Amino acid sequence: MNTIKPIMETHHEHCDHLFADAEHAASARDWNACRVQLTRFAEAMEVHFRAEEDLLFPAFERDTNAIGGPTEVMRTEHEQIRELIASLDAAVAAASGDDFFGASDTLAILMEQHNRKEEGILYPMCDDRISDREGLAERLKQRVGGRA
Amino acid sequence: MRELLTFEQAPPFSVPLRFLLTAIPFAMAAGLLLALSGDALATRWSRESLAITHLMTAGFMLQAMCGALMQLTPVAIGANLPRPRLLAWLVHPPMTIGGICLAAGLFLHSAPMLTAGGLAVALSALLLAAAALTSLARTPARNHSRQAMRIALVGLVFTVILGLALALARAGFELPATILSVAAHLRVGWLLWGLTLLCAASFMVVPMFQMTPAYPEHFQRWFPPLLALAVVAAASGIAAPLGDILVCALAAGYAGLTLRLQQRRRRPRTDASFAFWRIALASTMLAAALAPALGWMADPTRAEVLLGALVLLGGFDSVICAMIYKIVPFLVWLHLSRAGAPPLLMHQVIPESTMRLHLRIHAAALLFSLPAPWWPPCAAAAGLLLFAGHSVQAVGLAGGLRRYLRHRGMEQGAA
Repeated sequence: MNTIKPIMETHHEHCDHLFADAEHAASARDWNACRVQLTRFAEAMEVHFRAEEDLLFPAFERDTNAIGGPTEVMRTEHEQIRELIASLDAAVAAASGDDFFGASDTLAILMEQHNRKEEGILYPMCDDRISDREGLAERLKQRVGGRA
Repeated sequence: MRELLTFEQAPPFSVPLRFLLTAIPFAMAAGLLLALSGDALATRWSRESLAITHLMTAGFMLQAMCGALMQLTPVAIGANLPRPRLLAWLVHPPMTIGGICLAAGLFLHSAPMLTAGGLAVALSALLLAAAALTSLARTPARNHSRQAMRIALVGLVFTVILGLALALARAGFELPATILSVAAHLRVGWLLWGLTLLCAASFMVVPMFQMTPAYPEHFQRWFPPLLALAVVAAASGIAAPLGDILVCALAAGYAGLTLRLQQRRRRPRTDASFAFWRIALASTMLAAALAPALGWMADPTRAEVLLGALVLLGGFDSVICAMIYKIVPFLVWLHLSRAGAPPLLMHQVIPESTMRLHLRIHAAALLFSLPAPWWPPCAAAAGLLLFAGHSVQAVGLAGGLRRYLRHRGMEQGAA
């Protein structure tokens, strides 16, 4: 039986690994490798965000009538995360370790508390409340790929 | 559901900040008193030792705990404290004045100050604990930090009640002997409040700061209640020697596991905050090894003070600094971002060089504090270093807040 929480949790984990890979490259001041790893991380995050914003959040809002509430907060945090990833990009372009780790420190905390809210509260609520949970889980799995 | 994730429920910046900022002068005052205490540190019963202990616990630790609690419970556990601004106004002034009076009352043997300080600290802490416990009971989120936080808050309630009774008795009031137990006050304060709260925070922030694996599920579920049972057994005297040994084994187990998780962190870079964590965990392990050994010593008087230094300066002071250096810069970024102001990334709020300077001074203060019960000149050095370290921290935080206000001003100017 497909449920939403483990699929999205596993993809969070995958994104965390990609983020750490980019940090390792930055720590070694290998900016070319860092650029490659950062692109992978940014792409994976974008896939995750699109899956939530296109599929999960609309289904949750439809089945709970909770428009403009928790999902809006999650969308706002997605934007904040996108801005921080852009700051990481700029730091890599400038080959600045200080700027990179300043942005990555901020991003690590923001991502972790964002994921904690999703995994602890939102995904279980989605599994509980969304009527076509299995179909949606399957579509999410297709979006976030074989990582789930 | 809505209120669980609505960011607007997170408290205004001023709410946690006032507690976190007030904590620091208490630690500075403890440093100054330590520097002047001479051979009074030969025993934990001297007026200097008692005042320093309460500046660090009822002042520094309690204020820092309130700040972290008011920020972390809504954001990480989903428990929104009711009317946080009003609650902060009701709790913060009496807790601050009470902390000062309590330490002054212990130092000066002043009955009115002991009474006023004890009552103010106890009532403000009880009000905060009641509000937080109510919020935690209402949230539908069911994570292990929530359970640990509830146990820690119950620990705080018992700590302040036992402490108030002792303060009133010292001030000359007649109270039943059954509630006058320094041993129970100390065990419940260090372990049921302090260590359980540290666990609750660790479950949240250790994976968050360093991207470590999560604490094992069974550890998160069973450690806080098991620790609570062991503390109750030890503090009540039901199974005192065995309970104490179990408690110390549990404390060492928590510290060892956290060190192990930090070794498996995914993030490559370590910073001053991480080093503060390592000092705290190493000190906790040393304290857990020393505490049971006190029972076998012919005269443990001075070693008891060493235990206090390991617990308060090595353990709680270090871990609170580690948290402040992450929480405050993150909140600056978060609130600027929320206001649409030009962002400040975390390293732009408090420079890493400032935090590293504080770290070095703090480590030196701890090293000097260890022989201080036997060699008074070390107490003077440890005290001056403790004062200097927290002064560096205060200057760093003040600089960060100036930058925050300047950026807020830029946003208002643009508007």
